[in-house]
Order: sequence, then structure tokens, then C-alpha cells
Amino acid sequence: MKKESLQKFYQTYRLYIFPSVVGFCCLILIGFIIMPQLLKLLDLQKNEQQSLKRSGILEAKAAELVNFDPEDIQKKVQIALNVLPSDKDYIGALALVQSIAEQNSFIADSLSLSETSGGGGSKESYIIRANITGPKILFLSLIKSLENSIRVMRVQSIEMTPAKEASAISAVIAIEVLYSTAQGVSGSADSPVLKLTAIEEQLINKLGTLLPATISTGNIATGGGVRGKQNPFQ
Amino acid sequence: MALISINLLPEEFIVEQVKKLKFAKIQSISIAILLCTFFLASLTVALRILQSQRIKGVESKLTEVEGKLSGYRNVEDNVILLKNRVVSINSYLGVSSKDALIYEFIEENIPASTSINSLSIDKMGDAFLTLVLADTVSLDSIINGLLESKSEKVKIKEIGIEGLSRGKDGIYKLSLKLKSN
Repeated sequence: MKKESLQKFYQTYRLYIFPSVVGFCCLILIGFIIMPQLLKLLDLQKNEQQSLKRSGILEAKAAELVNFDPEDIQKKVQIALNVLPSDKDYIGALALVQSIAEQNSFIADSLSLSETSGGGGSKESYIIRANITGPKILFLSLIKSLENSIRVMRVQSIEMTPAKEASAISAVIAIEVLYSTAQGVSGSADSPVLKLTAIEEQLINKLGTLLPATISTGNIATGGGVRGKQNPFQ
Repeated sequence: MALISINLLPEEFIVEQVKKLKFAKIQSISIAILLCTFFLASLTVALRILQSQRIKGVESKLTEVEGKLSGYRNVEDNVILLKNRVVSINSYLGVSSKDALIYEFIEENIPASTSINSLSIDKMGDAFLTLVLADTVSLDSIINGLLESKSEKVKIKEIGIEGLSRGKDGIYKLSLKLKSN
């Protein structure tokens, strides 16, 4: 009885019932399958493009890094670390100042260390106060030798007085010795490979020729090696 | 001669036929729409499957390249360290400090007949010097020489005479204070 009445109802209203059921099915399909899949598709399309781009960048970077000669880079790093060490290396700096003074016919009467006054800034340095005696005519050459030495040093102040001998002078030179604790830590994998410019390449090669062979090929890659106390003023 | 058509079917039958025809039309249109929707749904699913396969491929390639790059991490660290150092070194090397430039300037611009008794150059580049002169005639030439020097690196903006004394031996001592730009 019920079935018959349902059939009769369908027969009467089938013109409306059939398209409504089909429309409902279509809405279900669109709402639960087509739209979510389409949104996901578009979203992942962006990710895919990004991944492809990143993969391309990394491949190019790997290809660039393959071209570097690790031994050559290591050697250049050693040279750079000798010129601008990663630690204070007081002994090396004092020895160098004394050696430069001797090369210019000066006698280093005393060498003292002090921290850079004023502090501040990112510059890492300390002062070597050199009390020297020697020929007046070679003083300029001494100053230039200090500033062009194989270690980054700057003359900060000069006090010059006549010595006992007429052609000699006695001077106190405050030399600022620079170092840098910054290490080469690579950033993200996507960061581009840094390259030396032609000028920088020339500079490092020039420094390599200036450094004694024992130093330039020595075991100083670890930043000159920490000798003695890190800070003797403490 | 015109044909004469006589409809002998009852009116209800015609109405029923029209209804059936209309339903058949609606039915076929509805089924076509449903099939299209099915087709679109299966197309999006197929595209998603293809896309996820492509993404898997790209990701595995990415992992492979990252693994390759990690093998060069040491080289990259060294290159960065080298670059940073060389940039710092380049900014200092070959560039004379102000003190060195001023000393060179004084050496160049003080006449040979005049000797420097004492000299001090401070951090700011201000120089204090005591000169030994045989006579006062050369005083003007010393000051003019310092002020009118053609040096590109150092320009003296102010010269102060701190003192002038004459010893029993007739030797003059001149104390100067130089301020440079």
C-alpha cells in the first residue's frame, strides 16, 4: 500500500523529483570532491613550483661548489687568518712589531699591550704601545712597514722625541692590532655562493707571496691557534 | 486535394504523451550533467594523483641535492670565512692611517734646514710638534709650506703657534699645533 502510494507520488512529481536528486548528487560531488581537490591542486602547484625553483638553485650552487678547489680555498683561508686572525694572538703581533722595527734598524726598547680605549663598534682590536729608538730618516719607512705588514695593524698615535744621538729618535707608537672573531658559518642552503672579486683574488695571492712559506702552508687553519691566556688583562 | 486528419485518440492520452516526452528530455539532460560532474570529479582526482607523484619526484631530487650540498658544507664555510676576511683586509690594507699620513705630510713639508725636535700625533690626527730653527726668517716659509701644500691626502685647516723661544745659542724653538681635516 505504502509502496504503491510512493510510486504514485513519484509518477505525479517525477518531473521535479528526478532533476532535484541529480542536482543534489552533483552538489555533493562538487562540494566534497571537486572543490577540495581543486583547491589542494592549486595550493600544491605553488609548492611544487617553489620546490622546483629551490632544486634548481641548489643544483646550480652544488655545481658552483664543485668548481672550488678545497685545498686552494684552505690555503687562502690560512693566509687570510694569518693577516687577520680570529684570536688576539698577542705573541705573534708583538713578535711581528719587533721584527718590523728590527728590519727598519730600530730597537724596540719596550712593547706593552692595552685594550682599545673607547670600545664600542664591531671592531675587535687591541693596542701595542711600542717604545722604540732608531734612525730618524727611517721612521717614515717604519710607519709604512707597520701599516703594510702581513698582519692588519694601524698606527693610532705617534710621540717622537730626540734621542741621545743627533740623527736618532726615540718614539712611542700606539699600534692598533686588529683581529676578527667572526667565523665563516654558511647560512641557509639557498644562500648564494660567495665569490672573491678579481681584486680580492689578487690581494690574497699577493698576501700569499708576502707570507713566509712556513706560515702560509703551516697548520694555522684553526685561526692561528690560541696560545697562552685568551685575555692576559683579566 | 488537401488531406483531412481526424484525431480519434482521447485528450488524456495526448497530455500523457507530452508529459512523457518532457520527462525524457529532463532525464537525459540531468544524466548528462551528472556524467559531466563525475567526469570532472575523476579528472581532479587523477590530476591530484599525478601531482603528488611529481611532488614526490621533486622532493627526492631536492633531498639528493641537499645531501650533495652538505658534502660541500666545509668548502662553503671556508669560502664565506675567506670572503669576510678578505673584505675586511681589503678595507685596511694599502690605506694609510690618518696619523701615518700626517707624519708623512709633516716630513714632506718641513724644510730640510729645520729639524723636528719632538712630535706627537694623537688619535684624532692633531699634531703637536716642536721645531728647531736657525732663524725666524724660515718661520713664514714653514707655516706657508704647511698651509699651502698640494697634498691631496692631508689638508691642514688650522695652525696654532703654541710657543716660540730663543736659547742662549741663538737657536729658536717653535711649538706648533696642527689641526687637519
